[in-house]
Amino acid sequence: MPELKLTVNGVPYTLDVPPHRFLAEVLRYDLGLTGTKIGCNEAECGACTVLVDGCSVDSCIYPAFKAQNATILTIEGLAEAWRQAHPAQEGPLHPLQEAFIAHGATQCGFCTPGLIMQAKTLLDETLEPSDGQIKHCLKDTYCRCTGYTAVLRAVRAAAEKMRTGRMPAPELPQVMAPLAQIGKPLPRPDAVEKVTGKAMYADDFRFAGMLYAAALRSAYPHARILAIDTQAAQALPGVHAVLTYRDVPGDPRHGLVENDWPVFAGGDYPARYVGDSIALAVAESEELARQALGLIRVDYEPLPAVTDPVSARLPDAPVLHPDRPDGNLLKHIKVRHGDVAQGFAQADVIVERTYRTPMTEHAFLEPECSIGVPAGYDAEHAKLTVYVGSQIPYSDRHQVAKSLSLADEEVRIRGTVMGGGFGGKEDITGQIHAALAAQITGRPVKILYSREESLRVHPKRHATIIRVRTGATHDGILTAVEAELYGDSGAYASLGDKVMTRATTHATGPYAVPNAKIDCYAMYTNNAPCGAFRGFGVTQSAFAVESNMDILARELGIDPIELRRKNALRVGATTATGQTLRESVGLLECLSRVEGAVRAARDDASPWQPWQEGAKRYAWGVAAGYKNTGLGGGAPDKAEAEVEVFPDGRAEVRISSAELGQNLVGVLAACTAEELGLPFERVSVLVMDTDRAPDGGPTTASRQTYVSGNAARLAAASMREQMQAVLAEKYDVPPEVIAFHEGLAYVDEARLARVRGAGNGHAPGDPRPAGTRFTLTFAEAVQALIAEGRAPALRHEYWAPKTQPLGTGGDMHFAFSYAVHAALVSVDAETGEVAVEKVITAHDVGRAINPLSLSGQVEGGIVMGMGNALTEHYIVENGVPWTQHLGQYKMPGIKLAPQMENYFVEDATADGPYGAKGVGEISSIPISPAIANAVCNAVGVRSLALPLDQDALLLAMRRGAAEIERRWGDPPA
Amino acid sequence: MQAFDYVRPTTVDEAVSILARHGDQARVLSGGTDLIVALRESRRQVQVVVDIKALSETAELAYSPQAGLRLGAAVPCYRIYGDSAVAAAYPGLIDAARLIGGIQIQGRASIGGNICNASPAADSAPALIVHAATCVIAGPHGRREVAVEDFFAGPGRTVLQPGEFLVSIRLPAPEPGFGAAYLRFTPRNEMDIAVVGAGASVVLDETRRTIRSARIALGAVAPTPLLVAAAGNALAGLPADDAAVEQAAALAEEAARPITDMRGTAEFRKHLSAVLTRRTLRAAIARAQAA
Ligand SMILES: Cc1cc2nc3c(=O)[nH]c(=O)nc-3n(C[C@H](O)[C@H](O)[C@H](O)COP(=O)(O)OP(=O)(O)OC[C@H]3O[C@@H](n4cnc5c(N)ncnc54)[C@H](O)[C@@H]3O)c2cc1C
Ligand code: FES
Ligand code: FES
Repeated sequence: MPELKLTVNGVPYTLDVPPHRFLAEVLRYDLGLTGTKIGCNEAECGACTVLVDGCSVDSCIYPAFKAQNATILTIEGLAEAWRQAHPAQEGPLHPLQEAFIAHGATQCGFCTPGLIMQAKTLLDETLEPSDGQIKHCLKDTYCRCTGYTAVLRAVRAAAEKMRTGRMPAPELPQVMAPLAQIGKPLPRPDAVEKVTGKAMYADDFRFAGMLYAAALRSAYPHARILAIDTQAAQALPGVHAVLTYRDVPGDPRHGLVENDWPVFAGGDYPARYVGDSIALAVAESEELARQALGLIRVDYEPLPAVTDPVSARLPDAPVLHPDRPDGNLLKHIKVRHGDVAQGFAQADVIVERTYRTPMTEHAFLEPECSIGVPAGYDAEHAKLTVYVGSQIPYSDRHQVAKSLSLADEEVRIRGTVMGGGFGGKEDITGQIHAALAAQITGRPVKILYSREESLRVHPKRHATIIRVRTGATHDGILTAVEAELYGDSGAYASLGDKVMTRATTHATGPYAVPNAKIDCYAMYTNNAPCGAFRGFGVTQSAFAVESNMDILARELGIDPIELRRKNALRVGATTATGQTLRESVGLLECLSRVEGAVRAARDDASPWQPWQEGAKRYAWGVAAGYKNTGLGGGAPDKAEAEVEVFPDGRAEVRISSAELGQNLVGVLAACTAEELGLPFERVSVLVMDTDRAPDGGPTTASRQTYVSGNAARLAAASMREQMQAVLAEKYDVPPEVIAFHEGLAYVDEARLARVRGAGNGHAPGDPRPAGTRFTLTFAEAVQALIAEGRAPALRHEYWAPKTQPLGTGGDMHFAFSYAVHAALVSVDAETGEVAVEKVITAHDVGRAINPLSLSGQVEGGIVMGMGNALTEHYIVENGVPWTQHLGQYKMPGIKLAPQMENYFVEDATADGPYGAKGVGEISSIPISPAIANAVCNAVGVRSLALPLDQDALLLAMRRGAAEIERRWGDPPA
Repeated sequence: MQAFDYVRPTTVDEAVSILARHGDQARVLSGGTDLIVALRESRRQVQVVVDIKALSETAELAYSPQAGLRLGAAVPCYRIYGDSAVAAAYPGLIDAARLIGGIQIQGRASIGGNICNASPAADSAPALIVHAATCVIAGPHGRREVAVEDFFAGPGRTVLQPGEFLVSIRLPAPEPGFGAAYLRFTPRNEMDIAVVGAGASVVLDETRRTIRSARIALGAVAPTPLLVAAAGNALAGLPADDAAVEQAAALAEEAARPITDMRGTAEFRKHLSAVLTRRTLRAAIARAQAA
């Protein structure tokens, strides 16, 4: 093999590598510098950016031999290089790294090394970068989490630090006065690891003797598999095993709700979409494994495919799952409330339209990766272990165990740092395959999806067709909503039933509607399965509902905010599922915040009027939304947390909820620190390990801050109570007067006075002098606890308030978050190009536990929702994806990031931790209809389908059409 | 991905002989931003990758106000816009070089690779055409030159014969009163391929009011990048005003023969040809007047 010489981060290397190796592979796999990430391997995402002789390149497509004799800088060497060049500066990190931490520009962190290395090239040129320059510099470097706002903030801040020596603090929306930890913009606990490239994502792990596996995917969207010949593949030197359905010892199927998804298609199970796996090749290298796949012969009998949910319901449609009772119907979901006939009879105006929303892709930047390590591999791996970044570790454990015919306890899931999920990492992808391959070969086995495979396999957001009929009186009071929804759930159930239930129950919008009749058909088709994706069905129905609201406002001549205000849910109102809201409904305040800000920005009595500058037409548009927190619908919703305190004065909270970038770890640390009176930095968090951390339940439904946050808070509070009890005994004071604050435990004089009245501090009549009061360090308090023989660790299982199944009335959900989004768009009247210039939003989140990460959730959600409205569409033609590469999936880059003005409304919910409720999803919901409404205000054309087709928009403008039904990605007419 | 050999010849003759020997099993590697991605996606199969970055001629960026620009086929975009004399003389080329991919791409991607890849939407092609550029080709039978507008043979195909490769691109020195611009339309995101691209250049007379000569070119509206000779010819001698711009736009729209695909319908693209021609021509005139 030819010899490659290069210098990386100041260290010279001489390596033997094959000519077709790429720089990213050399760095990651040959040198172990895994800070450089691979998100696509097609020069699209920028995650692999490194500097070669000072010039930034996508190392994934950079042939290693082009770097012969070159000097390379990666994220791992950045801080050291900076310190050497600037010995006088303080701080261990490069200012960009420091700024990314302080300004919340790293969430999942997968994009962070690339963004930082790329931004460095700009700061090498100028220390006064304009936003335009930053955007130009980072235009090919994607981030799916932050919405880029924090990235812009951080790059500006780093430049300022380099100019002035001072790091500016982030400017964040105002929140209520903080407690000791709650309400403060604390940097994420894992931030340093993420900005230095040390964070370990699944593909960053390597084990001695590790093999690599790759799956063969179905060539057809629907086909019976008559025969699989693996002989040639098995004979290939370096191939250790080729597995098929015959090798699955336990349950041949898995599934989050329905057990309908085969581990391998074959035998009794046909392939039902092109992502179905048929065989798994396990070999010495990934390259060999993929080569082996090419040698497998599969005899298919192609079956007719059904690829849209309406045809799927026709009586003669091909049936996907003959063992199910209702053909292709996964679920018929019904909401019945009042009497719609009467409601429409009372209406003066009725608006009815049919809307379509696209199938969309999470495009988390880290492709799926699982590593199976066989039981007994070494001391650390007594059990069969799967390393994976997954949103539901305990469910993975169960599904792996079941298919391998093991007890749950015989399997351990160890979560790794995750490069985003957004709902797309809830289902099984490689976990069972990796575990099975490890068990069969007796060696660790890694399965890393290529980006193409990721696009092809994991569940998407449901495409929907939604017909909504809305009735209102002359003065704008809603009288009835009737709706019919079709959801394309794809080949397997995944969470399809739950998602479409949420779409259905939220289909009246955040309004009090006295009469509603809503029917939803979640259908099996031969498309990719559809399941959870941020917004969880509500994204889809909100587009339909909020578009109808604007049409209604126009027909009634009522201001769109006023119409929403008249009908807004408020305390005392009843939802269409029969739930009467008793508290924490901040919608009215969100409406008035946004209304005030838009009027101020527009300086106009009629803020929705369009205006023109050159070829561009501008207008604001608005939409409102709401989203449940928690599973709801009667599902038991609980999480268990373990808190341990240590004699050195630290504490740890353990819970197997998933950290996918949203900073749950920061929330859990803050709740624990708050209750124990510890500085935030002294609390460590362990998540996603089924052996060491109890079950936090699924990370879905915006539930973790609420449910796991409460579990951590209550576990920490009981731990504090235990320590209070021990100290009370020891020092003879009532336990409640012992305060835990800033790492100390002491008698709080004010509390004592309240308890005892004035005196010597003891019980009335106690003759002892004052002075038995004390101040201990937290460490001493823990030592006292241990000395008393008490356990320094305890668990608390938190059960969220009970909910009721749909159709039974009562509380279907224990909390809702609300939001109002206004978008200013420009439409180029000559080209149809739509741009979002600015957004103004307000979110009722109950309580801002950490305003920095909350801002991140809001900013990221907004840009994701913007993509949903304007560019994103996972295009499938007859069951075969057109969208095969990341380059074909158009998600917003930094150039499309709008200006933002966000407000937080803190209408506390009684049971939430410190009043908090979920925010993960609501931030992405109203923005799509707000944009569609703004476009309509600007040019008078309403798009009934997303993503908006700018081509169709222009043609409609030129022809004077008022509505368009086409969306981008529809087959040419 | 399929394995390949990597060779790095140091002379033009050596490169030609390697290419001639391996025929269609060899492929020239410049920045690799098209080639490597195509190999990874198995859109292309090759056995030998011939890196031409070590040749002095392909790495050359030589400008003089008299002789014009010799742009080596492998010079990456960032070197082009990073050179202030080149940037001032060839504004249309600079527009294109700054548009191609992100900064990481521009550090590698060459204009030579952009036109050899022969995408109908290649951003540099209309820009080069309006700068009246020519391709310098080396091959087993020596050297030849062809105008950039004649370099393309169809989507993904050029006039290069077996054993031939592009050594450099020559751009004539701009005359006094020269201005040029390139614009593209990519509505869905910055990283999209042009739905339509349009380049324009003009030479104005001493008064800067009258067009002496002009060139208009379009991308992504035909199987190859298109010189709209009719539009350029019609502009010669006209006052540099809205009427002239409208006339050129109408001729460009007429010349466009686009197809409908996922990124835009034929009708839309025809319309955009006019819009973009109008905008880019205005920009070219403004630059000529400011010069
Ligand atoms: C993320 C991304 C974004 C992109 N964005 C754009 C864009 O906005 N606009 C655009 O136009 N393109 C874009 N491209 C395509 C590509 O970057 C450009 O076409 C680039 O200019 C190609 O140059 P290169 O030096 O990398 O060519 P290479 O990949 O090295 O070569 C391209 C092709 O030409 C052949 N070739 C190269 N040089 C020669 C030569 N001297 N003689 C003969 N044959 C040769 C190669 O064999 C290959 O087939 C993008 C690509 C990526 C990956
Ligand atoms: S750009 Fe290299 S991994 Fe995405
Ligand atoms: S933080 Fe950027 S992709 Fe997750």
